[in-house]
Amino acid sequence: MTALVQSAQAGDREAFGEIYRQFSGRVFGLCKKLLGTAAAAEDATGEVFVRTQQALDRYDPARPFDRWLLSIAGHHCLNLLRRRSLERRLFAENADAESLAPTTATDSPLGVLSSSEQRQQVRDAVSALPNKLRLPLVLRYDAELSYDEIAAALGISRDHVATLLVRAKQALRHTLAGSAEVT
Amino acid sequence: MSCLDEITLTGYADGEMADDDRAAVEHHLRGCTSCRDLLAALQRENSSLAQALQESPVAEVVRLPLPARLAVPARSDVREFGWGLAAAAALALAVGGNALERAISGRIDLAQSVATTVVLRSLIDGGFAVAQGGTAMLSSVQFAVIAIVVGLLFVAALRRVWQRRLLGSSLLVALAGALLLLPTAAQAIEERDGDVVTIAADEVVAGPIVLTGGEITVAGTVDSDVIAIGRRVVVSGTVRGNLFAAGKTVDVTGMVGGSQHIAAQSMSLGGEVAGNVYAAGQEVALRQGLRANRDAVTAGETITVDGSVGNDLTVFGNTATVTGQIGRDLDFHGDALRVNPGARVGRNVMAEVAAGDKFRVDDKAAVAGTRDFKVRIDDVEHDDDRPFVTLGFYSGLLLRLIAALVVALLLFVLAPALIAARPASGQPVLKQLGVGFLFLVATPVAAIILAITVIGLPLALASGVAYAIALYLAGIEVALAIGQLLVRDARRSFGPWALAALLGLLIVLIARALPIVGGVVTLLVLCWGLGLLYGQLSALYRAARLPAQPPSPA
Repeated sequence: MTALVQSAQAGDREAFGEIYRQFSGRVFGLCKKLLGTAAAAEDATGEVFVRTQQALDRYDPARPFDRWLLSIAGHHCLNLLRRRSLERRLFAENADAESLAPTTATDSPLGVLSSSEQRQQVRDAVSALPNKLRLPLVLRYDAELSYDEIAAALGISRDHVATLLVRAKQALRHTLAGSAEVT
Repeated sequence: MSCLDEITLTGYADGEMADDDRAAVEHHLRGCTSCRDLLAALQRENSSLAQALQESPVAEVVRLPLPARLAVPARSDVREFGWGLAAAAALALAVGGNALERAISGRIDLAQSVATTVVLRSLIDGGFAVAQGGTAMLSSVQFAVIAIVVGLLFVAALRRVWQRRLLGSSLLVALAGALLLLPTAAQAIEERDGDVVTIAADEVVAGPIVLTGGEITVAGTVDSDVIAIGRRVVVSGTVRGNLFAAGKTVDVTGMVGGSQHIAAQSMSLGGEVAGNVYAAGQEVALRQGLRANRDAVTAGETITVDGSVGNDLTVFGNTATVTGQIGRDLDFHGDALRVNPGARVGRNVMAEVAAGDKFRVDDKAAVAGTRDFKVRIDDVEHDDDRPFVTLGFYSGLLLRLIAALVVALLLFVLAPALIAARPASGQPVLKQLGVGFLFLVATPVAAIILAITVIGLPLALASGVAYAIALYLAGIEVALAIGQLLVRDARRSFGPWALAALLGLLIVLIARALPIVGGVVTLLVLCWGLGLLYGQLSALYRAARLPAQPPSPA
């Protein structure tokens, strides 16, 4: 991987093409989860790689490449969302109006995801979450950004990130438990 | 100590806890089974959540092809195509009009004798001016051309350096350097200049020679090419290479080992020519003494052919009179053709004339094949009231389409980020229209205000030029945006992209040319295009300010 990135840094287009082949699916997945639609994610994926190529000089090899790439993708998608001017409103700290019955993690339907159907159910449930819960969750568990990074990207406090993550998971448990009862 | 809450444990499970807090949590965990269970459950959740989110569902793994504007192999095809095209163009130029004229002759009916005469006159006048200016002018033109080429090569080289393609860039710099040295090499070619320039009958010139001046006479022998530009050029000696001659009058009676390329107001060509004859001028006479071994292509007002042509004779002109011998076909495009008694044509006579009675092939002329003619249909008269029925309208539209397509392709290769727009993404169309309208109106106003201050005059001029360029690009932006709406996958590879560009440009051009609504369409196109352009430029600006690296984990 390092060698590939180094060749791409040196201007080897084949190498960058290979990076694209390896990671475009992953970036696309992240963008889709953040933006909601495949079309928007497709656009964003292309844009992310254009930016990545432009920023390649500034990549610090001490950092895992995929994390770096995904954080670019995360930031880009958040910028897009911000441009849709929905997100700023959603992240007001006092906006957590609706209450959710607290659920517990023990015996959580999230804990055991043995089949691909179950994992698909989780993805569906995630995509159904409101922005303010979905974005931190996806940034944390898909892009693997740190709390600080998420806080900076979303313009909220670190504690708020922690709260939102817990609330997001509670909402997921709730949804998944509900769908488990239905099936 | 009471049990830990889920937020604390989640932070711990996520590895997002300060050292001393972590120690406290671990201390509690050692003594509390329920918290240990909760932590284990949270960790299970985390890992399965990450697994579920990070795995790409089969449906999404469908390979996204690389966006066309990324500078990766997909695009180098385009670049190589561009270089190939440039090389091909250079080769075509180097080979000269030979193949081109052959391709044109007889096959494409674009010979309008009036137009050709105009072109020829300008050519002759131009050549004459160069001759009067002497070598100083010739070398300055030469210098300008070389300077432009060198400049372009350096720009290309800089781009490559920027992309860290060092081999390519050093090759380009080397090439540019070589071209810079070329004028010195060119000076190795012998030049003679003066009011009267003569190669005497007993003189033998070994290398190629350039002769410029008033009266030019080649009576001796040149073992290579001769370029002669003068008021009057007379070649009675032997030229073993090609002969390029331009002037008010050109008279050739000597022998030419290569081909003759003659442009003159009036010319009289004789002697033996091993290659082809290309003759263009007001009055063109292929004299009785002429023996052209291969083809002859002539263009002019009055053309007389008394000599013999080994293969085909192609004539573009007002009137042509043929009394000589043609080995194969005689092909005429113009007003009137007359083939006199005594003329011999090895194969067919084909003519395009102004009227049926302008095609006169004497019965005593020997034509082995057929004698065909068709009457030329003139262009519909230009009519300002009905521009849509004129040919000029459509050819103008076509020219503009080609020009816009070329500009779009250049943008694709040189500034892909400028044409990234797709109306579906980014700002809404209405906002783009508004921003565009603002620019459309505000820029000239700002320029005028700047101009009034006098000090700002250069800035005003510069913004005027930028405004004009932006207006042109605005149309292209809109066309590309429309094209990409119509063509699926237009941004994925070059083929669909080019198709989308063509479609979009066609739609925009036609819509803007429509009567009545065209004006409104143009206004909308300009507003939207300027808005798109603004969006692209501001996106570029933002991208340039992209943080060196997103903040790394604490």
